[in-house]
Amino acid sequence: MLTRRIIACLDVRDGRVVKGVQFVDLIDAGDPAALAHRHAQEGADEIVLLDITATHEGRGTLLDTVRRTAASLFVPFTVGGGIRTAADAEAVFTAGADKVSINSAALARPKLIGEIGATFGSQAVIVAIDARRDTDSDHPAQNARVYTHGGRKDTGRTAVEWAREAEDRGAGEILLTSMDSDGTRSGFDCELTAAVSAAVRIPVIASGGAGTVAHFADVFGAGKADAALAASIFHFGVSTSRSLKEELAKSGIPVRFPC
Amino acid sequence: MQWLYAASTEAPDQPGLAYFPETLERFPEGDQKVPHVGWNQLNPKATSRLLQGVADSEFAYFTHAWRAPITAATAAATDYIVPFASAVEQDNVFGVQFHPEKSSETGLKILRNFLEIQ
Repeated sequence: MLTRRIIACLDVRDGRVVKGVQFVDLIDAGDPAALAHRHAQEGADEIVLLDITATHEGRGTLLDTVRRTAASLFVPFTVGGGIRTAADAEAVFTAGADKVSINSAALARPKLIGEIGATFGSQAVIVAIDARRDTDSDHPAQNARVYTHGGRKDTGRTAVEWAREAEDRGAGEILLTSMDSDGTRSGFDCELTAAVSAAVRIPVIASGGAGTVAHFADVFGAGKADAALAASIFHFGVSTSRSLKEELAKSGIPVRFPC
Repeated sequence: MQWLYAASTEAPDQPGLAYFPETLERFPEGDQKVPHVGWNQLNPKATSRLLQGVADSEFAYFTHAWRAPITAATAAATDYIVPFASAVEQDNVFGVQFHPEKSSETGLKILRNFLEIQ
């Protein structure tokens, strides 16, 4: 049976993990490569490395980080953050990434999706969407709007419509972050996730709001998510992807367990 | 693995190597999503050399929308919408639909098996 995926996300700045799951017994808990390997060992189905480096010098560091991480990582590995051109994507793939995640660059120039896909395949292109409910609408989740610049800029598009266009242009997956839920630990936005998931044929990864095991069960059930991104969940009574998946398996959610 | 087959509806004008005579088809549209992306289970044939030591229901990572039919050469079957061949094996030719390099310990075991086949 095809299982729902638990994806561990690491935020990296200048080659160091700044947010995400830490393991106290790691000698270097800030090293992305060490953390990615540890996550894979602990049962994560996939690893996402999100580069939040703002400087040009940091980009070189990122490629080195990707290279070191990919060298002995044997689960799918996605790299996002700062990928603006097909050449940027190629550099990340050459360093060992399996997929790239693109966000504002795809909104600014949607052709980028197809350009990367033409060379590396649709499966390698994740379009990340940051969405916020439209509280003025009669259907706030269905009409949730897409934002960029950390939520400061309204693109004027709905998440459902942009996800459809991204799919038509050759995206392989959608990484959907609810800006309303992000950081709240009060649960994923299941209504938003379900609206986007129903609109496309490609997998939708839910992100934002994880706080408990039940939140994951909800987003895989009512939210119709194909995968869920986990970061701070591991600080709240569940120590690893493995124990999260064990709990989900008990409640009847198909997951890769034992893992 | 797909180019070992005679043809695919993905590219009707482009013949494959035809080591296996069948034609690949896209998963049928329905309630479940196509492409098939994620971790799914293998049901290996006990006699498979490539899948020695791989237990029934071990997981591998897939990402594809076309699939090969179950035949005598099928070394492992996987179920998604319909059962399909997730590994094929005949004489000294081996193919896998999943990504062994991204399938954790199970994938590494299969790659090791391949290297050690006499």
